[in-house]
Amino acid sequence: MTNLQKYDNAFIETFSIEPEDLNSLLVYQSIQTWDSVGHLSLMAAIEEAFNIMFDTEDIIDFSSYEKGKLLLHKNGVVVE
Amino acid sequence: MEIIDAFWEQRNLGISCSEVTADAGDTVEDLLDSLALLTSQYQVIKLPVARYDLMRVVEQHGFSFIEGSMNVVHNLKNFDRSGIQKRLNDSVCYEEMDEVDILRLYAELQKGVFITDRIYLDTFFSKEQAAQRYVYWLEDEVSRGAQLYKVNIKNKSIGFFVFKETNNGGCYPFLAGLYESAKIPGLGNVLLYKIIEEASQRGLKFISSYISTNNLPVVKVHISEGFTISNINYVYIKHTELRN
Repeated sequence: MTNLQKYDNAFIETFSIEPEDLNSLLVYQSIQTWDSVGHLSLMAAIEEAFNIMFDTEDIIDFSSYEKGKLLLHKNGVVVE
Repeated sequence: MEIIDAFWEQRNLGISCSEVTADAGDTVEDLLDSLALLTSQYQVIKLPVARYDLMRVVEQHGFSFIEGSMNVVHNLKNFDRSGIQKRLNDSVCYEEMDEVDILRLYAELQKGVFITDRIYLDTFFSKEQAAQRYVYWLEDEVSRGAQLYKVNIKNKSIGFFVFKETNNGGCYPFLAGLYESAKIPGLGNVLLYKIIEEASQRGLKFISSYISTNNLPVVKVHISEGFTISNINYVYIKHTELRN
């Protein structure tokens, strides 16, 4: 499984969305399931998928599907 | 059946208001007797769940359902956090507001922090009235001893909560929110956790609060932070012509 597939699966499984929902419009609170509780679940899923630990700045900066890729890159994970 | 003259809404909203609360033992006849007494311009009725007989009566009398009001309770046990929640929580602090902070809070409220309550959603009222009502409410409660806290991350104020101890060993944090300019992912949980921390540090026994079913993210945050649902009331409203 590629890093992109792992990344996408974290969103799909956490938010119960479809692959076609994964685009630049997917931002915090743009769907009902990406709220505060959903965000913490997403962060846990991504940390587990890539065996990393986000710092606090990353957790609160993780405001969109696209921004998350940049934050993963910062943590040594290339998602493309 | 309890009928309250919510006289404070005259100042808040410019109209007279009555609030009726029915309990599980009330009958249709009790409700009809109470409805016959109402003369105010804005009437609010809170019904227990699973009472279709009462729900039919209020609907037949022109009331509209507007929200479910959930009483949620936390027993202040087993609330330690680990992992992401702990990391996030450790980066956020809170402190009691000074006068400048309170003015900032009121300004934020007037911008519109809360957009799911029964006043905000009611087109009879303006958004400005809905926002100003919170300011009046806080002013009243602070004058009666409630305390206001600001919640900060990296020295930036992101939200607030109100703390009010009750005389039975608990507390009633009746209002908390994140400012519109600081809707940062994940901080809803942290805001609520700070209230739990404060209640625990004060040695209180429980937290009891009311949340609206109109605000699903807030309901979810309360459940995820260990609150349990104690009671639910269905809230109906009606606007009438001035009769007196």
